[in-house]
Amino acid sequence: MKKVIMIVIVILNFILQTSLYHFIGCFGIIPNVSLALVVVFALYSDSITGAFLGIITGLLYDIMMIDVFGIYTLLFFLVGSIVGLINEDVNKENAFSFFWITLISAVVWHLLMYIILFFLGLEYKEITLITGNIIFEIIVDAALAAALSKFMLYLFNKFNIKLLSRQ
Amino acid sequence: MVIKLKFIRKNIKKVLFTGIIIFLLFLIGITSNERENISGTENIAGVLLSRTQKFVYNIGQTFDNAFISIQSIAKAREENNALRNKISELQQENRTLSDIVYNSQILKAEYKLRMNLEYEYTEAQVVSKLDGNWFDRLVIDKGEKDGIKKNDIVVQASVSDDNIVETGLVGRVVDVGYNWAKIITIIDESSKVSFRVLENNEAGIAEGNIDSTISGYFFNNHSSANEGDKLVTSGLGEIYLQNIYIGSVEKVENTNDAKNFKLYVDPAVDFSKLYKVFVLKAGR
Repeated sequence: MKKVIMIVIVILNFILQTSLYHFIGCFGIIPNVSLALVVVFALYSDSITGAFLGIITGLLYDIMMIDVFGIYTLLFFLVGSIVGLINEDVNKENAFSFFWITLISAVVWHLLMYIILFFLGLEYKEITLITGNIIFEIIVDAALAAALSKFMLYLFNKFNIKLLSRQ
Repeated sequence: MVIKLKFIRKNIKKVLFTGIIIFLLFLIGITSNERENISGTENIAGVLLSRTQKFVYNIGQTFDNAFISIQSIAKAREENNALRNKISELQQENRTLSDIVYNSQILKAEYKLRMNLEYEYTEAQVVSKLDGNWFDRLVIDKGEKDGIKKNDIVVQASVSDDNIVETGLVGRVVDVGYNWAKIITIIDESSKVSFRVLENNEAGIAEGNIDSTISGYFFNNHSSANEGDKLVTSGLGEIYLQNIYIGSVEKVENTNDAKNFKLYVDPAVDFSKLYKVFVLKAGR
């Protein structure tokens, strides 16, 4: 049940991310809520669930939005599975843990995106033009993940589902 | 053989992890060259998701419009007066230009040719956007069933008396599903459009930039343009149709390299507020 709800949330968020969030983005920044969710759910579960949620999120982007298949699936899969691996070593009651792990994940996510696109022939010579935007977005993503970690605990509690193993 | 199987069983997670990465890299490699059609699974997922996205997009658009309306009530009267003056000015300009066109045989012939250049079109609505830092893509609510084909041209336009008056180039169709299609916009980093400067007929290539702007350079090193000059598609490369308005020159910069002058283009379309678009059926 826990995994089914996670999948439903990931799909609903994808719809909102691509159809609604750009109406409410501020200073031209649209937070990557999909990434924040994959990190939060991977930390609340394990590497297999994290990888699975990462694949679903990435597939949605690859199928619906871009013409090269696999970029988003690969990036979200890597984030989901690697973050899921360290879930037992993280203090999940501390929102700052979510903040820092999402911050690092988002940096890696953007770096890998740059590398993949570079090898696909997009040189991005003027990458410095969006560096500020990316940094701002990463911080917003991390803050969102911290807030989402608490909100998801509350939401899953409402459904009487344990997110934390000791609950 | 037994040892290999034991190794795989023991390290099943690592083997799966590596296998998925290799498989995805392989997929990225083979789909990075433009493909003819999307797969059946992608199509079904697209059909299911695009309707929900359209519903959510409409909600966002309604709230956005309401917010903008409230903001602009005070400005409306002022803008109305300014527009009335502008219409009078344009009518005057139109009369002068018509006089010039009809007094020149060559221009008259070209005018008639342009008037006959009518493409079949389909009105579509944007249902989702990927306008993050790396891509500038759109999805529209029309697809195969509406006759949309890969490489059809997408423009923003207004309709009057059953004719469309095109206001600017948006992009082109890159993938088509049953009732949805993916669009690559001209501000996407991987987008290139051949252009012609209306004022002096010099040609070049305009390309999207990572910061969602458009810049361009001329084929000829000695060519240049002035701020405010208008760019239209030249039709070279046979991807975009001819004479579709791209935007105006915002800045001209001498780069001191082989490409010489670099143009910064102010696109005619406001990509942050795209809602209704038109797909021109080029029939190619």
